[in-house]
Amino acid sequence: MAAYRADDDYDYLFKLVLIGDSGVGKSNLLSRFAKNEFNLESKSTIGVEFATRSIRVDDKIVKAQIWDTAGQERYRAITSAYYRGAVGALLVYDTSRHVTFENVERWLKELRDHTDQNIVIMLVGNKADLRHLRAVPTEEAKAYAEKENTYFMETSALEALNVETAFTEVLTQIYHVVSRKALDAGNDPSALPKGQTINVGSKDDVSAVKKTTCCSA
Amino acid sequence: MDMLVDRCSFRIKLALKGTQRRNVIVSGRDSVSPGEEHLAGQNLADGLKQSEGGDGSEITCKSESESSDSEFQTLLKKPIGDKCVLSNGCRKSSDDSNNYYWEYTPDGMVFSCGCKAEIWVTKGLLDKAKGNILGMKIIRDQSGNTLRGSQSRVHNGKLRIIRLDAIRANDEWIVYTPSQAAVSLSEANKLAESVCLKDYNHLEPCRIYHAARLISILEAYALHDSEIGYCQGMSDLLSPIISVMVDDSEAFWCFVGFMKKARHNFRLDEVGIRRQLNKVSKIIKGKDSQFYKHLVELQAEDCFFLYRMVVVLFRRELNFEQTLCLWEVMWADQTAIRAGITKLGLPYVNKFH
Repeated sequence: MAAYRADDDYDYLFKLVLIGDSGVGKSNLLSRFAKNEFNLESKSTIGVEFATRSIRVDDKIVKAQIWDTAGQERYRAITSAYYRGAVGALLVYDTSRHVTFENVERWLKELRDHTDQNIVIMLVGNKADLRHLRAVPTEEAKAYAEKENTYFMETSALEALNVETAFTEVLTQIYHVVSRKALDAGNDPSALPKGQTINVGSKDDVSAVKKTTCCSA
Repeated sequence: MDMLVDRCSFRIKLALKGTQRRNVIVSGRDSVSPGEEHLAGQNLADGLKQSEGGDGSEITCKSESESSDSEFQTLLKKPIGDKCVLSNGCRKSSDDSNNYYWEYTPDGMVFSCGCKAEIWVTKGLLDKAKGNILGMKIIRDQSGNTLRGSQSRVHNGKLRIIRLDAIRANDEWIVYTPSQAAVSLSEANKLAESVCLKDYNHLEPCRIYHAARLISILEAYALHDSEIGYCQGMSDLLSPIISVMVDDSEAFWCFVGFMKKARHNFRLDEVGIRRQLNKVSKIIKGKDSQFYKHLVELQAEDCFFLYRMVVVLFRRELNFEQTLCLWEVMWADQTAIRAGITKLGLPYVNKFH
């Protein structure tokens, strides 16, 4: 295997969506993860914007194609196209604004209405650096995440706290699901990976495609 | 009522006939903390409940103070002439009796109307706006002159988005508009306060001033075009306009003219933008089949990746100067087409008519 791998050389391509109220920091989470950048005065997202980044899980290259959407309700008609084929979602709220946490329920409903029921979801409490302004206690969000059976993490895009971990965790879980599917197909249940696994539907997913590369050597 | 005095910052002229003027108050204050809704008026005191659209929750409205309201009633009855300080302390600088206008105060917008008929026009305007940007309930008092609206969470939520976007507006325009760039801190703060701007201390005066102007015009637009309301991206479109236009009312009407076409891209059902993206997709298909094939492979032939570019007319892809140039060419082109002139100077024939 050569040391250099081309940008489009990957084993898996996973589509993730970033959702949550306007101004919770979705775009900054994405730019922190994709480019290690943070901008205090980032512009509002219009419609939908994209970024990609590849990470290594086990010995595989997993490419995340992340869809960042506008938080304003106005841009909601696009949703069905937006959620199509998504295998993971980061549902973001702002730990310093309780109303954004209250709206998580609505986002979760929309997500579940439009995606496969086994999509990997992580509840993300962003802006954890604003400690003096905290309005959503960690325990409250954690309890909610447990109740709704989603993963949970508090992040700070500004301080680059847990951002990498959050995305990697979601991608790894999806990877496990996909490898389990491959194993299921091979009728070898004894080799199931340890930890929580989620089945992403029975039929083949468009976005969780195993890419056959011709130049991986 | 003290709060109302001397805080007026903005007026918009609407071309309607009128002589005697009366005021119509619409509450528009953004200083209400969540769950604690109040009103500037007494007329709504009697257990009025406002049902919000969307989530069906109910918010109980309370009157703020009876004494201030009766004081206000007295003030309302004062005759209002041209070039005067309005009864509520807001200055009215227009002396054109054919216009009616509204003004901003910390307690909301003040509408000034000429006659009963105009009040109905205003009421119609406000009724349309209900559930949109202002999320308000329109109430008339017994004399039929005063309209008041309650605030709601929807209202505050949407106002918050406008403020958020206004603060995030960039400062590229500064070098092109020295007069606005030189605005003093006190002037900027005064305007910011009048539109209830928050968290702006980290900004330079000219950017505070710019943000405050964006807010006044965008809020007015949301009221003017209640079907569309405020939508993220509009601040990107307005920012260059107010950079080259010093007068708020002129900038407002320019924006209205601009939005006549652009508003379709902001429609709630996204029909307008989808149609546009569809067109782009077809153009690519016809002009560059190889590129189109590539898009199909990526499942991107719907051209959603162009969404933002189309909605804000490349504002975020181009710098300030390039934006002005592109927009002027586009506008000139549209005007030429309307006037029946093509690039060759020949009469334009619309094939579809």
